[in-house]
Amino acid sequence: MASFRDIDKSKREAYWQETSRFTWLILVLWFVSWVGPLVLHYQLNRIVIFGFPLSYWFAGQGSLAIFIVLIVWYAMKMNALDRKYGVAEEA
Amino acid sequence: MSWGKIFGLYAGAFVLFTVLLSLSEYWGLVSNRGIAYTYLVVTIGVYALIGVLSRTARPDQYYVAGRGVPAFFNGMATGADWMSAASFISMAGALYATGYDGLAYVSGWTGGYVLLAIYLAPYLRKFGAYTIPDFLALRYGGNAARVVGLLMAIGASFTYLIAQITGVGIIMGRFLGMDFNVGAFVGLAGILVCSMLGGMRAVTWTQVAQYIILILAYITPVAMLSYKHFGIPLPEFTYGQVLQDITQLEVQQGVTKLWVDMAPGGMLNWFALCFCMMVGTAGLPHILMRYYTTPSVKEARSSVGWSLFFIFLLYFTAPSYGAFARWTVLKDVIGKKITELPNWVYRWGDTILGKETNHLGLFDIADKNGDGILQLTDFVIKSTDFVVLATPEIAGLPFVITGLVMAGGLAAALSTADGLLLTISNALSHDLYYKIINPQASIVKRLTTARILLVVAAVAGAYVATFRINIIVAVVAYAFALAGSGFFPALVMGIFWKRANKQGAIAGMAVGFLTALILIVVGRNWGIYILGVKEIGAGVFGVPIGFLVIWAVSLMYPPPDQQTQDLVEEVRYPRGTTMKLAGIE
Repeated sequence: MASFRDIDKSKREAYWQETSRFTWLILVLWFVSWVGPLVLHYQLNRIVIFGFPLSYWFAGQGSLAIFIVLIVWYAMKMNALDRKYGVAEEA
Repeated sequence: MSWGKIFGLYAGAFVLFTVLLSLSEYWGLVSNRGIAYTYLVVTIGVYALIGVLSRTARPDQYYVAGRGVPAFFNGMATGADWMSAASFISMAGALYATGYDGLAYVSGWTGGYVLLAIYLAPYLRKFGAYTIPDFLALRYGGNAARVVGLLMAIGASFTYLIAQITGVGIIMGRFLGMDFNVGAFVGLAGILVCSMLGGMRAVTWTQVAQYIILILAYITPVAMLSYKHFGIPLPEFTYGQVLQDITQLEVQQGVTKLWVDMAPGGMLNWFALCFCMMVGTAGLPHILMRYYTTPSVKEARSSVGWSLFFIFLLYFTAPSYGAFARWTVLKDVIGKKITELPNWVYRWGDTILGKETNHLGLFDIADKNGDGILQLTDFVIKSTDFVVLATPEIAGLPFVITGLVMAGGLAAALSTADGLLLTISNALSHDLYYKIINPQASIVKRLTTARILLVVAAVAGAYVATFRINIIVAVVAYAFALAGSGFFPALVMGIFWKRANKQGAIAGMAVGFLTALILIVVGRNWGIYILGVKEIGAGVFGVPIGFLVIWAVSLMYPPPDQQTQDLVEEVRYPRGTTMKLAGIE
C-alpha cells in the first residue's frame, strides 16, 4: 500500500512548508482583491474608466477576474511543487 | 465519441432548435404558449434521456460518478449545481434595485471558490470519501461527528431544495399559466428522472447539459440589447456607457443616493455579507462533494478553476443586466407621457394605468398625481424578477427568446435541486443507513435504500414547497451563514491542523452553528445586531468563533490517535492512496 512514509521526510517537510506559505500568499491576495476596492470605495468610484466607476467595476467584475487568476495560479504552482518534491500522483 | 464532441453537438443542436422555433414563430406556426411548452417538453425530455442512459448499479458510480469526471466537465456541472433559480432569475433584479450594495452577492458567490481551491477541494479529493459527513467521521473519530455533519448537511440542503422547487413552480406559473402546485410537481418529476437511476453519475451529465442551456439563455437577451444600442454584443464591456447615463438621469430626477455608490455607512455590512457568502460557498456540502468526483488531485485543482470560470460567465454578465434594465426604466418609462409607454410594460405588468393585464406579481404602473407623466414613484415594483424576464422584449427579440429564458431558469433551478437532493439522500442512505444503522447491508440493498430515500426527500420537498412559506427565501440566504459557521472551520482545521480532535471539532461545529443561528434569530425577530451587522452576515462572527472553539477545546483534550494523524499527513501529498488507510472500500 502506498503511504506518505515512502516519501523522504525532509522532502515532505519542505513540500508542506512551501505549500503553506503559498496558501497564505493566495489568501492575502484574495482578501485584498475584494476588501481593497470596498475600503477605498469612495476614492475609487471617483475614478471612471470606460464609463465604469472603479470600485463598482471591481465588485461586479474585476475582483471576479482576479479570483480566477488566483485559482489558476494556485493550480499551476501546486502541480509544479508536486513534481519538484516528488509527491505528484502516479500517471 | 469524446464528451467534448457530444456536448458540442448538443449545444449546436439546441441553437438550431431555437432558430427553427423562431422561424416557426415568424411564420405564425406556433403560439407563445406553444413555444413555452415546446421548450419545457424538449429540455426535460433531454435531461430525462441523460438520466436514463446514465443509470448504474455500482455504488462508486452512484455516489461519486466513479471518480471519472474530467476537470472541465466537473467545472460545468458545478456551475449548474451552484447557480440556482435565485442566481438566474433574481440576482440581476436585486442589482437593479440596490446597485453597488447588491454586488456583495456577486463578489461573494464567486470569491468562495478561492477558499475552496486552496483549503478544501484537492485535499477532499485525496481523502476520497463519499460524503462530507464521511470525512468528518473518519477525521474526527466516529459517528458523533458524522451525526452533527449529517444534521447540518440535511438542514442546509433541504431549505435550499424547497426554494428551488418553489422557483420551478413560479417559473411554470409565469410562462405557462400553470397552477403553482401542478408546476411544483412537474418540476419534481423533472428532478427525479435525472437523479434516481444514476445518482451522481446521472446528475453530473445532466448538469452539464443544463449548464449549456442556462448560460445561452442568460447571455443571449442582454447581448442582443447591447448590440441594439452599441453595435457590440458584449454587454459586460458596453455597460460602462449605461452606468454614466444612469448617473446622469438620476441626478436629473433628483435621486440622492446614486446607484453606483454604496449606501451611507454600509461598508461593514457589505463586508459581512460578502464574507458570509464566500465562506458559506466553501461550506455547502452539495458543492464540496462535486470535488470527490474528479479522477485525481491535480484535476480537482483545475476543476475549481473551471467551476469558477463557468460561474463567472454568468456573474460577470449580471451587473450589465441590472444596469441595462435600470437605464431602460429611467429612460423609457420614467418621465414619459402615459400614452407613450413601451410594449413590454403591458406584457409583464400587473395593473397598468388602472387596467388589470396580468397577475404575474412583478410591477404596477399608475399615474398617481394625474399629470399624464410618469414619476419614479409611479412605477411600483413588486418583484425585481421582471429584469431578467422582460429583457428579451426590451431588446426587441421574438418571443422564442423569452421561452429560452424560461428554459434557462428551469435548468438553473432543476440542476441545483438535483445536487441538493443527492446530498440529502446520500447523507441519509450512506451516512445514516449504511454507516450507522446497518453496516452489513448489501450493495443492492444500499442502492435501493438510496433511491427510495431520494424519492421520499423529493416528495417531501415538493410538499413543503406547496405551502409557500414566505420565510424560505430568507432561510436560504441564512444557509450560507449557517453552513459557513458550522462546516468550514471543522473542515479546514481537520485538514490543516493534526492536533484538532473530536471534542474540538464537535464543540466548534455546534458553537459556530449556534452562534450564527442565535444572531439570525435575534436579528430577524428583535432587530438586535452586533456592531450593526444584519443577521444575513452573521457568519462574520460565527466563522471565527468556530475556529477559536475548535482550537481551544482541542487543546483541552488529548491529541487524536496515530492513525488519524497519519491520515491528515497522507492527505497533504497527492501521491499514494488514502482510501484504504481510511477504511473506505
